[in-house]
Amino acid sequence: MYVDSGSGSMIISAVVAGAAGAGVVAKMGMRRITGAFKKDKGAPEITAPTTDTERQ
Amino acid sequence: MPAANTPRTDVDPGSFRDPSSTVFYAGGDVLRGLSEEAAADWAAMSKAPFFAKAMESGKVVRTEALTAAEAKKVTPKGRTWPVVLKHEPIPFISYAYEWTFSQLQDAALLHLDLLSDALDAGLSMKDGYVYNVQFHGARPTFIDTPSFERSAGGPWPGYRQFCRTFLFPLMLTAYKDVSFRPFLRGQVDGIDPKQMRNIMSSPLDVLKGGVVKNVLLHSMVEQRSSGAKGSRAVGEELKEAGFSTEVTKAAVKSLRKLVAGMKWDTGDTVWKDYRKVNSYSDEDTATKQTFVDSALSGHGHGLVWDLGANDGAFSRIAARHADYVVAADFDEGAIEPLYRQLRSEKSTNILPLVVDLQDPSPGIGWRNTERPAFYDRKKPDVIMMLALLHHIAISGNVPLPQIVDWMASFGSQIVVEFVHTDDVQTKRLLANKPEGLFPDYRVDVFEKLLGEKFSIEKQEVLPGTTRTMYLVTPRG
Repeated sequence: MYVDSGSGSMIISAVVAGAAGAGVVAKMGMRRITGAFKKDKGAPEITAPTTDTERQ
Repeated sequence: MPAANTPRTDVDPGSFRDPSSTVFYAGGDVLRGLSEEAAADWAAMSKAPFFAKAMESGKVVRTEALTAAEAKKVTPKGRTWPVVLKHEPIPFISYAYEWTFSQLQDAALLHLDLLSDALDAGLSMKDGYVYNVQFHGARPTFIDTPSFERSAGGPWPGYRQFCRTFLFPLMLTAYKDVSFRPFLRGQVDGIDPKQMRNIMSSPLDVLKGGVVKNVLLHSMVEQRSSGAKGSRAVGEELKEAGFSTEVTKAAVKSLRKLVAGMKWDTGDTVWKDYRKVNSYSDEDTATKQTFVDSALSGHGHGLVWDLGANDGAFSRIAARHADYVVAADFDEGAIEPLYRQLRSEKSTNILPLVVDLQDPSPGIGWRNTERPAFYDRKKPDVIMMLALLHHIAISGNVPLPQIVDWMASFGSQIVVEFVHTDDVQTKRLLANKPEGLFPDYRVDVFEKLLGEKFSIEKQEVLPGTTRTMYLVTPRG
């Protein structure tokens, strides 16, 4: 089936890839990941849930 | 993909989530109509050597494309499919909420191995769903052939779904000793990352394999980074940032290592050593085995259910006389070792499942028909209920007339054992209940009720005189 792969999940799959994914994480993932930790420091907080959107 | 005897010419009620492929049934066959897009994917993957090999070994359900003339004959009115596939039927459909830890683990490894092979062949998979896998006996089989697609590069879209329906449930059992079955039965899409993060709330949980990345970071990033752009756009962005097939391969390798390294021991459960410590004399056991063997012999049964199968000793006897046996028991402590044993024997005709008869799997998903209830899948020819009814009657408080009604509801032949009130096992169960609560739990009452719904073909009191065996056929 076609699923919503989830933008956050795709980024994490680069983290899971370890060294092979480090470049990807460095280029774009860390901005989002660090954003997750720095809730009130300028990173835009967008909380639209991606759960329960897999059914297509 | 449901069992072979789901109503004919019907579109499968669970086959709607992927609009590019439709499972339907005609003339006793399990068929699948493909869209143009899915047909092009099929053309690519049917040429890949790994795919033919996987079908040969049973890792992927055996599948062939019908000729145009054959396809025309079976295609329902109003439908046009450029390609129609025919799948080998799965003898009995089961779902992950009926599997043991090792079954789910093996299904997860199969999914990852096939993805890895697909990536090596320049293909990919579009999802990572636990319902893509079925069991043929003790062998996991991938059934959702349209999951394979021509690779567009970039991240594996199924990672999130794999976490929700395979990885998190496995972690729950391996790391927390909590059954995944109620979660998967309660949520057709599995456990979401936030839920999992809250479950893995002990400070020591972060030390366990894969938790920081797959659970903590996953849940944080999912909550904060979604919404601004669709995931398709983010996928493109990731590709531009260098997310190549090599990165996906590394992620799959890492997931495989994580899943393969998970362990869970059944611990001390109710029935684990039942066969060693039960109340049967050797003579009773031998007589019971002979009764079951002779009750089943000579008919060449299709499907037999062994309800309350325990260690599967009687399922094995049934398997001599049937095409396929479902060995169901509520105790994972009995079914997990049975699965491991059957797996080591490469058995494909006994399917071990964890099913609690006092709370069997309901229909779940869309309209409660997407994944049918345990009782709504495939009718068994014979059901064995050995040393089972006293548990339902005494532990479960189900009155005998209701039990016999339930037995008759299947319309199947039944081999049943009634354990009398003076048997040590019944006494043990009665000791947990107020005295005098079950005045009607008696062999004469049972026999009278049985006679109203069934004709009794054979009956025999075991030598110890506290158990009676029956072979019964439904009336009418």
